[in-house]
Formats: sequence, structure tokens, C-alpha cells
Amino acid sequence: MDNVDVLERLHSVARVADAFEAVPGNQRVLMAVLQACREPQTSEELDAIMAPILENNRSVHSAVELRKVLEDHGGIRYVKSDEEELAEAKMRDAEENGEVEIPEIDDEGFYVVSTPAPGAWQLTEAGQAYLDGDPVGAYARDLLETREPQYAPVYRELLELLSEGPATKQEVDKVAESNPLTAEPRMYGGHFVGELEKAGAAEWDGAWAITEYGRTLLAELAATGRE
Amino acid sequence: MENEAMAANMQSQGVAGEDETCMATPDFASEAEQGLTDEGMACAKAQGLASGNVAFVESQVAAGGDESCDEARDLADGCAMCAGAQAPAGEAVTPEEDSSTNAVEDADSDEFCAHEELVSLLAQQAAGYELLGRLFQREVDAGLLRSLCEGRYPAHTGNDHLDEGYRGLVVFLNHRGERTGTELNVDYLHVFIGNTQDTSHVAYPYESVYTSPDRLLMQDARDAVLAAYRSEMITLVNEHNEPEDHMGFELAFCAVLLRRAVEALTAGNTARAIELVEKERAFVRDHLGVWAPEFAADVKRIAQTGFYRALADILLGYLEVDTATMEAVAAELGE
Repeated sequence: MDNVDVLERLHSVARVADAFEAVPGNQRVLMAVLQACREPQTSEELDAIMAPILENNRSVHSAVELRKVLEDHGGIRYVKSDEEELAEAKMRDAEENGEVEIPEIDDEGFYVVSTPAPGAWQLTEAGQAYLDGDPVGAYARDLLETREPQYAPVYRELLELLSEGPATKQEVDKVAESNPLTAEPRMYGGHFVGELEKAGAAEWDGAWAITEYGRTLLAELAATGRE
Repeated sequence: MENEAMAANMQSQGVAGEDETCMATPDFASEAEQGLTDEGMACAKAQGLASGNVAFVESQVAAGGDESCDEARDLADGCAMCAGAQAPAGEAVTPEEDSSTNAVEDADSDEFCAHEELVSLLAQQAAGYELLGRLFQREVDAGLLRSLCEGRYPAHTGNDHLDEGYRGLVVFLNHRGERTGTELNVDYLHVFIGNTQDTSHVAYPYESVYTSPDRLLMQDARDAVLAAYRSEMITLVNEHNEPEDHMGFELAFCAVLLRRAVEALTAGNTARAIELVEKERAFVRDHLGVWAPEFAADVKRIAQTGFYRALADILLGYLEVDTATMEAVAAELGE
């Protein structure tokens, strides 16, 4: 791989990362789509994956729009089914020949409204490279090692709280705000749990809960003694 | 026999015959009504159309509710004794064939059959108006799009506009994808609401705009339409504050008139049914028929999706067929 290829690859991966900036607050659902698209997924299958996540994040973006964002940023692509390809070719031929497209007519004289087999969404190379770069871990590392290393004890306490079971906002606030580190400057629980959510370590489902990655992160924090 | 006379009458008007006339109405009435219900809108009630945020509320007529809706749907499904109004083209029974069968043997049965055919025809026309009204009132949602895909659209109705409209609609539906709903929403905004300062690039769906010299809202046409609604004790409940002469409301009003005619006929009140049919004919003649052609031409010019271009054709075709059909119905009722 020459330098040009490397630069192009980095650029395409950066574009995928930009998708997360384009629709802030949707990290979890976008990541779920990327992960799911490691295997081909129909729109309906992706809807089933995305709906429970979108239910709680109050996003103004629909599942269809979020897929479009990822597609526009080169993270996923839609591969048409043979039937969809055929229908498109028929339309293209009619346009090129200046003809009117006539749908199929059934034996009773009615047009047939067809429902072609659905195509599938797949991860692109850039999307694959983005996932291979461990974006979730990268966010947490950036958070705890670069941006807010001084608050690592607060993050660990919060993860410990969530590991015991779902916690209310008030419980999160209580833990975060009782730590002396958050007194000056004044920092609130919402900031910390929000960062944990962006890092994929916590999720809201009527209450704040720890994710599998959150448990991994908690173990890492405990093991490395990052405080 | 009366039903034969009616069919002959329609054919003499240059309109498709009995079965063909019914064919001109897509066989999506019940599906469409179901779709409306699914989307949280009142279904196409027998006593009128109610639809979500924008609805007609009738201050005098006793509420029919869903039972009335079901009743109307049953009626629209056709009379078992008749050559079904919704029978496929290949199975439709011509008047000659009908007379050669033993299905209807006495005069009483003939009269009952003709009556049921009229009721079925009126209910079917009303269902078509309800769906058209809904399509112009606001954007297509997922449930309605699904219903449209489940509809059946005749390829040859005998009306050029309808033929072109149904063809265009099915072509559009056959190429639908997951972003079709969004595309339709965008096009609705583009065509009927406008995202430009250039008013020539918007098909404002109000009669006043198309009939007043300066293309203004709330002109004489709106007052006349409001008077027509009030003559039937109908109030427009409209949370969007749309003028009463909106295309969607005018189409829905025709549906209300025809639904009431169905009720009147079912109750044996032929005089009231005649009055309602004449009102509907006059409303189409004096209002919809006046501005729909220019409006539809604008929609076809401006729309970016085949869906709304097809809808414009269907609107024109439906009004043409309805005009001829109601003329025949009026003649039949008057006999």
C-alpha cells in the first residue's frame, strides 16, 4: 500500500467518523448499525435493531435518515437485489428509448404492484476499517487519558454504581457530586454519565445502566489503578 | 330492468358501462379505509370523513361511528344478488348476460338489486373521494403508502386521465425504496406548500387562488364553499387553519354528500338521496370542475415525483368519471 492509498484510507475512515459528528447523540445507534452490517442486513432487519435504541434517545432522525447519513459518509452501502436491479434496468431502458414504462398487468386487467425482494446493507471497507480502529475504546481512552484524566475516579465510581444495577438520574448525581473532585469547578452527574454514554459504557433505558463494554472499562480502570 | 337501464344509461353517456364504471374506481376502498384507521385517523365514516387534525364535524347528523363505517364498507362490497360492482373485468356480467340468467327472476328482486347497485356505486365513489381528499390534505405516511401498495389499479378504465394516472402511480410504487416516504414528504412540501418565493412554482391547493384575478386566498370561492358546507350543517375543524376551499376538503365534502346519499337510500329516503346527489353534482360542476384542470396541470408541471404527477391525472379522471356517473345515478334515481 503506497502513501496515496494510506491517505485515502485514512480519509475514508475519517469520513465515517464524521457521520457521528453529523448526527450527535446517535453514537449508539450508528455503532449498532455498523456492527450489524458486518453481515448483510435488510432494511427491515436494521429497523428491528435500531428501533429499541431510538426509542429512548429522542432523536429527531428516523432510522432511514440515520442509515442515509452512514451511507453518505461511506460507512455502509446498499446492495440492490436482483429484482431491484431488474426494475431499475427496466426504468432506465424506458427512459433511454423515450418510452413509457408499462407495469405488468394481471389476468383480471389490473396493474401489478410489485414488491421486489429487498437488497441488503453491507459494511464498506471504510466502515470496516473504522470498526477495526476500536472507536469505542478510542473514545474512552481519549476521555480518560487525554481530556479528563483527573476525573477517572468519578467515572470509576459511576461505573461501579451502574454495575450494581440500573440507577436513576438522582443516584448518578449523588455519586458524582459527592466526590470532592467535582466541587471546583462545579461538575454535575449529567456530564459524566453523558460521556460514559458516548463512550458506549452506559445506556439509558428508563434508567442508567452499564453496558458490556462498560464492565470491561470498569475492570480496566480497577486493574490499572487509573485514579 | 332498472339495473340494465342504468348500465345502458351510463353507456349512452359515453361512460364505461356498469361494471366498467365501477372498474374506474380502484379497488382500494376498504384497504385505504383500513390504512386511515391504522394511522390513527377516523375511518371513512358513513356519515362523513374525519381525518386526524383536519376533519369535518357534522353538527346535526347522529354519529355513526365505526359501525357505520363497517356498514358502508359492507355496502361497498356489493350486493350478492347483483353482478358484483367490484367484479373483475373478466367476470363482469353484461346486462344481456344478466337477463339471460335465472339469478333475478321477479320484478321485486330487480328493484332490490338496482337499489343495492346504486348504494354500492355511491359508496364506492365516496371512498374514492375520501382517499383523494386525504392524499391532498397532507403528506403520505407509512400506513397509507402501504395501503396504496396493496391497492388494485385497473389498466384500462375508458378514461385517459385515469389510465395515465394509475399507470404512473403503479410505476412509482414499483420503484419505491426505503426513502420513498421521505421523498413524498419533500415533494408534498415542494408542490403544495412551496419552498420558493416564486409563486408560479407552487400549486397552492386552494380554489380561491385559482379563481380570483390576483390569485389570492380567502376570496369569493372560499365563501361559496363555506356556504355549501353549512348548507349540509358541516363544520370544518381545522387545526392547521387551512381555508375551507382547500382541494382536500372539497374532495372530502363530496365524499360526505355521497355517504349521506348512501344513508338516505338505505333508509328508503329517495328524495333526500336525490337532493344529495344533485348537491354533489352541483358542487363538482361549480367548484372542483372549475379549478381542478388548471391546478392539476400545475401539479404535473411542478411535482418532482411520479406520485404527485399521477395523482393529478387521477384527480382529473376521477372528476370526469364521477360527473358522468352521477348524471346517470341522478337519472336512475329520478325514474
